[in-house]
Amino acid sequence: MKELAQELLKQALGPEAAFRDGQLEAIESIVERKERLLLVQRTGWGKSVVYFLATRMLRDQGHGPALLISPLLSLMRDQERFAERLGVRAARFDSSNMEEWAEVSDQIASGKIDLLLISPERLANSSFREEVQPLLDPGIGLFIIDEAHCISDWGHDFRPDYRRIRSMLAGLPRGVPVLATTATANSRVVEDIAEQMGQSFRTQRGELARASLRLQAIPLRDQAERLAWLAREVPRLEGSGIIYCITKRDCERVAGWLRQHGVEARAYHAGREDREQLEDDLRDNRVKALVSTVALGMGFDKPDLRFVIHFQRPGSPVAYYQQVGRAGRGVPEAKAVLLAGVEDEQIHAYFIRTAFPDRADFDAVLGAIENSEEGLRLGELRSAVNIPVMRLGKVMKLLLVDGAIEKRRSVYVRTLREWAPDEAAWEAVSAARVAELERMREFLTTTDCLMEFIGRELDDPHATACGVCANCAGPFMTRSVDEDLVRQAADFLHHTELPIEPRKMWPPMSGRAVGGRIAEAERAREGRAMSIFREAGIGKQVARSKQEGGPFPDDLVSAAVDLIKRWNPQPAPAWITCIPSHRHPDLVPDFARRLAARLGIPFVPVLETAGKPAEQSSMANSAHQFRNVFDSLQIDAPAVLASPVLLVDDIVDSRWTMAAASSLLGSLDCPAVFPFALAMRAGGA
Amino acid sequence: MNLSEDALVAVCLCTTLGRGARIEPLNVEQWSDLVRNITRDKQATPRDLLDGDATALGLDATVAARVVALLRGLGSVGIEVERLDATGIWILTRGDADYPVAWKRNLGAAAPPVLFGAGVKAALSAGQDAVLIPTESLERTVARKTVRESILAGELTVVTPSIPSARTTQDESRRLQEAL
Repeated sequence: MKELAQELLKQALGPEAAFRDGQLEAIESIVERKERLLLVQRTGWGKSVVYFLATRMLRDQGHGPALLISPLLSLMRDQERFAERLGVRAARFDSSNMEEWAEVSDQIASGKIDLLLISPERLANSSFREEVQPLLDPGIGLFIIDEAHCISDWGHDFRPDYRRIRSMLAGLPRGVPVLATTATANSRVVEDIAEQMGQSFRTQRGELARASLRLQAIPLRDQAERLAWLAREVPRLEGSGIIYCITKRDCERVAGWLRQHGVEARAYHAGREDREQLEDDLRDNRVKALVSTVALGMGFDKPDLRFVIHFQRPGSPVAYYQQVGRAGRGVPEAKAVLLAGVEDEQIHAYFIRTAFPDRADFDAVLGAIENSEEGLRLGELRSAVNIPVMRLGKVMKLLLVDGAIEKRRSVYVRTLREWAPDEAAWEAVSAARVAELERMREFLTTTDCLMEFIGRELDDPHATACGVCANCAGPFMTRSVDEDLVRQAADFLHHTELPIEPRKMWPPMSGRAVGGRIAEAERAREGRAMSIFREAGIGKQVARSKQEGGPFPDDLVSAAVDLIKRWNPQPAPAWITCIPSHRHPDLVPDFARRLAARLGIPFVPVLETAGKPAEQSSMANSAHQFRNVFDSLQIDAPAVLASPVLLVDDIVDSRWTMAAASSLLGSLDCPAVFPFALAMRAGGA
Repeated sequence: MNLSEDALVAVCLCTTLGRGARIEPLNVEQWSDLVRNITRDKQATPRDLLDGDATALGLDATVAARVVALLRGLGSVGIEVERLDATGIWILTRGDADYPVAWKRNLGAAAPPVLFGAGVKAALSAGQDAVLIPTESLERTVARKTVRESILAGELTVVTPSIPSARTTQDESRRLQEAL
């Protein structure tokens, strides 16, 4: 068998190709002994060589095709290409290629497919399973679970859909080998993986350290210092790399700053539709760096990635290991620099606090569905409960996976399952997260070998001093920053202005043109917010004035005038109006009046509130926010001018207030409405 | 659900649960014949079919081939069984102690090999007052608020010979109700 495996490897990868430590052993375990194997090996070790070769050999022995469950589409694209080099014919089933499913089915039936790639989300869909399973009638030859730590909620990337793998495994005929792989699992996660899968696995653990990777940690005072460091140091780095940030907004901001300083940097996060293009740009070195959230992670393969910089500290050693593991796979040296500052911790504390929804959220969702006659559609559910969309999504996912609710076509129904949240388990997970955060704090100041520190955190039995990190061999990047750049960066942060994208659809079940598009004439144009509420510079000033009950100081008016001149909206606004408020009736009108005077156009307050609405920010989701606005907003129609208008508010959050006011103005022949706010609430708009 | 391997094989051979109707499942007579054959002659039980050679268990070649083909769907059946269990739906086969006594007695070999249901199983053998055999699908029936509440209160048991997503004909429902 060994000779055969070696021959196949050489056929695929050239006469020089040889197995790495442990690869052959893993292949034997699967192909000869048909074992269930959990493979813990560093990224880039070559897990895919194992499962593609094993697939090839099992197919040649006459076994059925292999099934590979893998969490990310980008990962799957890379894997398919690689599989073909090894003579393994792969096909995938995911939401992006539904039109090809029928063809793929035929190919499987006629034995033309050796490996079927499936995303875990697909497993949630019972009609999908009914379509795919019969295709596997000849029997699965090998069951592969990639990134197996996703099954564990102790892991840093828990995906509830992975839980369904357990029942798939339970239904596998005896003697079908199973291969679960991960690069990032400490002992606790490894145990949890085995327990969640309900199977006894043999574990094969390799050394996790990567000799080519040099680690350094550089604590800096604040964001301005870190931006200054990046602007000077990134151009000096060889090759291209990834700069990790925690939030999408920071990605955009850091990428924007670097571009201002002549660095070809692009933001990459789940909100970007051009992600595939961006990946290719990085792979082909057309950009110096992608500034990315964790969205660019598992499975992105670029052997010559030369650096990974963390603009903010990751939440755990495991996540950190996973992210730096992108670099230095196929080059003799790569650098990983962890920058850290004060705000990281607050962001992580927030993530930990909100990782699990409140008990009350679950009760509200279950209650609403229980009280319906025959279940609820998502839109109906949203309007029945006051829960933000993202959190509602989490609640629904957990309830679905636990079987407390089910989705039938588009209706969610309550099942007969009694359900209570496992609060003790959640608390344990939260406590573990806090401890991991603490370990990352220690990582910043430790004088031990940095690679060994991470290896120990991952329970790597082979962890030893690496000899090349900043603690072993001395710093390889400067800790100093250019004071002039720091000042520029502070100024840049001070003037973070953001677009206010107009709402295009009415919320479902809002009682208004139910769920339909907002008519072009009633839609706001793209607006501007001067800052992020409570953040650096203007954002802090706005927060202070709000707290003191106003008025907003004159330099905010000046800053607004500057911004509007830079922005230059067309057709130019000929008058100003503002959003009325019950709590602070004079604050915004006073500001709008002064702004109008400086711009030399009239201020006409045409909007009023009827009755006393709840504070918009206490309304959690679209349907509620929207109803709250529309129930209370009135317009003094005869006073409206038929010319473009600047619509001023102090803080923009859900954008429903702006949408509702714009619609009223637009319906009265106001040709263009440009929203303008002093600040945008973080996470809003 | 702690479904025995015998029961899992019954579900796999007699229903389309979890795998669609590409291969026709065995009907009641065929299943009863099969069980009679393997138990009488070979002292085997349905789970022995999993260990390989179905012809060795006294089945003729055509039936054996069909059994083998159907059993390949066992994995997906397992997934569906787990899913149903998670949502509070149980499965009974003729070998289960909770299987309605009256059906075994009154219908004999024509008694449905596999039942899907929700609610207190003991009610199935305690007269028909609290038992509903829906013509609508089981899944839709138990999703209705009033039905759900009655089941959870222990006042109603719903049972059907059809898989949970499928309907049962009125004739079949009436026939079973009368035999209960």
